[in-house]
Amino acid sequence: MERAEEKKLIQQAKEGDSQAFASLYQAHVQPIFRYILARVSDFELAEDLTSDVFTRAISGLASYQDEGTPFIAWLYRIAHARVIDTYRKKGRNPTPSDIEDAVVPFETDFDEGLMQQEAAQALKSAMRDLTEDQRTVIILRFVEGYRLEQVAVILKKNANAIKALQHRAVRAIAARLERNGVDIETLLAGLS
Amino acid sequence: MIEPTYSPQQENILQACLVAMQSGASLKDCLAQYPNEVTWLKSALLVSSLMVRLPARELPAPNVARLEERLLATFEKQTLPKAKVLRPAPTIWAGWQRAAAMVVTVLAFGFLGGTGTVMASANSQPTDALYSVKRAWESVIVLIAEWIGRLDDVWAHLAQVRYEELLAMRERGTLQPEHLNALNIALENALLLADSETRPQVFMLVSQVQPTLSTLEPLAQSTEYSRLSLLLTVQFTPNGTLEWESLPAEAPSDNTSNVLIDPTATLFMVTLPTETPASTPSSTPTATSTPRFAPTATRIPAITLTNTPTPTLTQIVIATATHTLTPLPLPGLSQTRVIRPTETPSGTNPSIISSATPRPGDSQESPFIRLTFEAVYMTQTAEAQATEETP
Repeated sequence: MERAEEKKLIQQAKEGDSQAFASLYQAHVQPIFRYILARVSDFELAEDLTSDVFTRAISGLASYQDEGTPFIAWLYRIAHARVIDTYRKKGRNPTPSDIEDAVVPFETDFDEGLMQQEAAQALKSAMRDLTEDQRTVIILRFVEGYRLEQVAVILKKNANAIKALQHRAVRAIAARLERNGVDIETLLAGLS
Repeated sequence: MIEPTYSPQQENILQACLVAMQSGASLKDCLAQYPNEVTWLKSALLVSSLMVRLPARELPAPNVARLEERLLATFEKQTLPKAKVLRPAPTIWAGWQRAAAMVVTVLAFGFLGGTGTVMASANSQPTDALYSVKRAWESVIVLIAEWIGRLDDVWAHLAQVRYEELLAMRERGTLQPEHLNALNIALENALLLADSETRPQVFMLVSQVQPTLSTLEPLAQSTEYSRLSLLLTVQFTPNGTLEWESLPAEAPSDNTSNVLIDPTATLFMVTLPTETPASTPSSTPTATSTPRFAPTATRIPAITLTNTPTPTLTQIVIATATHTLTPLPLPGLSQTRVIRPTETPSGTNPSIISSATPRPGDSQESPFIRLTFEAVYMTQTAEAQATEETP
């Protein structure tokens, strides 16, 4: 969604236009869902938290101020807080097993395309080695397709930090795939 | 196994190749540009390509539609009522309030003119030297506000002030749990005391604080952070009151006192304990807590209780204090305790948790501005009332 259009929709939603809010929701629900899904091990919980994020967005919309960052950056921050809060309510922080159980943000249930399934499963396994920050960067960069600078804005880190996270994450995945005997080139060719 | 080496140069190369490939360059082109980096760069770029090309997981369309429907219903319901500028006061009080406002103004100006210190402290922050003056003066404001029946307004304003101080501390990099705690107390009091007219104002503040919470991560492990998270769960109920998640019932400690309250009367009270001069919390009780409000529940529609209260309520007291349930005239105010019922997870007797933090240090805002505002506000109110009554 273009920034100008987004700004207009936010203003309209602030003024009580429910259709404007619906447009914002439709534009951002999937990325927010995937962001949460990569952090919790339960599809339904991810859906509930997604709902929670948008409910809170409704509550906070009146005071939302565009500070030059995309609207979704604000939603990501709410989502992040909700995930942390979920673990806090469980009385603990996310553990490596939570990360392992977390649902991979890539589609694995294909009716056809065994190679896609294999690739997704291989990546799911490889992503277990990543830290929380590395996973976040990978998702935002390669699943959501944000530019490095956009990721930096969303995560409130500087671009160099994101670049470092990206580099280590990609290499960690590559190393894991190699150790697991996965031939990436073959997988890629199979997707063609 | 040899650990891979990472360098900023490699990070730049990977990023440059990713950007180039996004613009149409091939893997071969990129590798050709960096022949010495092929070993790691090739696999890194292949992995990146793989992730880009795999379809992303999505929330199924029916779920998206169902959620949208629910959110739009919430959106319609939560569209905030416009904040009132003037509050129509009951006719019988209009003249009285005007007089009170004049007294407040005279008092404020007298004090300010006498010292000037309070004025200087108006914009002080928690780490500033004059901050204690600001807080002390605020306690006076709270006392006066209670006298003229505007405690809800004052706490709503104080919660805003605490929030602004929190932001200032965050900017300075000196944020401490105590700053969160001060916000928690003010916000909780504001939520508890809010009536139908101040609720939108308090709710608006909550909406401001919500996005800030994630920026307070250095304190995420603190109790204060958790408590603020709970307060921020506040929502409007269908009948217009506010509800938020309660803290789980705390285990009774040595300094827990049991207070018996008629369960049918109320589950809420504000106490204004009187501290002896220069007292500090110690094992010897040095303070007397006196309930300011008899439990008459007229100001508490903010909480909706679903469990039937039982007669025994546990009050958790942090400072050592003796509680008396007999309403007394206001002595020198120094501490306020807001007590509200919470549900225990097991659904047993609701307990009352006291946000027992010293009040003098709690109320804070620019005294000059606030008092002037109060005076003008009430004067306008009285005038508006008078106007409304004119046929």
